[in-house]
Amino acid sequence: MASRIIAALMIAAVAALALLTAVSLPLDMQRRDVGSYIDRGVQQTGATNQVSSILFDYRGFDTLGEATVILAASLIIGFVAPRRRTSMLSSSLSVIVRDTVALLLPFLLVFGFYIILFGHISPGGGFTGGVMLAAAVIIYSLAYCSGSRRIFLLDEAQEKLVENSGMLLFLGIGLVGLGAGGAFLANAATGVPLGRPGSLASAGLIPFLNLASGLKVAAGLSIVFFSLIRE
Amino acid sequence: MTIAIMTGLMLFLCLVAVYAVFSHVIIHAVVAMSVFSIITAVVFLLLQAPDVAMTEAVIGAGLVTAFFILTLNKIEEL
Repeated sequence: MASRIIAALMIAAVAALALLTAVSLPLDMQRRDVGSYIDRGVQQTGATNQVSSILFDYRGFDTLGEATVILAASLIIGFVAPRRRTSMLSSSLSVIVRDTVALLLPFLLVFGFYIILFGHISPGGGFTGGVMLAAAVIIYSLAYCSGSRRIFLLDEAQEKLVENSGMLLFLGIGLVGLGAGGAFLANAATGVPLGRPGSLASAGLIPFLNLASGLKVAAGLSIVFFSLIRE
Repeated sequence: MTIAIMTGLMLFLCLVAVYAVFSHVIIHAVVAMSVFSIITAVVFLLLQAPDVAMTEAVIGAGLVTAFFILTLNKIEEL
């Protein structure tokens, strides 16, 4: 009984702390002295979405490390999972689920690709859109492949191909930066036209980096899902 | 006004967290965690961070809940 009281007290303390910090957060959008990112972000990178410009241009190398983490995670899980094919689900889902998935899937796929391709203009980007595509793959295979076989177009080897090609595309774009005289993963320095900020063909190499990391995350997470399912 | 909404959401977050911890049925805890992720995404939106909100919503409520429910399904817990 004492442990329950202690647990409740701790939760109350943490809740009070969270409440205090949340209330004291400055919600009005004053200008912070964040340095030049906000002032010259759009001119230097051409991307109106500051998060993408930081993620893929100023800190592109960190994003490369982050992409490698996802690659390593999905490869290790793919390696650990057994090769034999067991049944996907113990109970196959009802017709209602199949119809809702059939209705939901096109919108989810279009929205996922939209988030990836418009990552440098509106909020979103490679990683968010990639996760949405992975979610589309997962709900499709849940609803329509109750048996061990998979009707979906990509089987295991092709997904690994998509993931590795996404990673290689990311590295290739980095080398383009290096090849054109700029630093590795450089964007503006490579002389790629930055275009008019806000238009689709703007922000130099950032859209391609978005696409590469989006494909990689989508394939990586679906590999994780399909290997966990085979347990 | 935003402060009131923020306080309300934070209180609701604490409630959902406590419920997820102390509920005896696993599936209720999983759903509570999914609600927790969605409310966190709304809080991120209030703090003007749409990218993080979108990622949190898709991963927290989408994938993590799906994986939990799949695991429960595979061990015939459902």
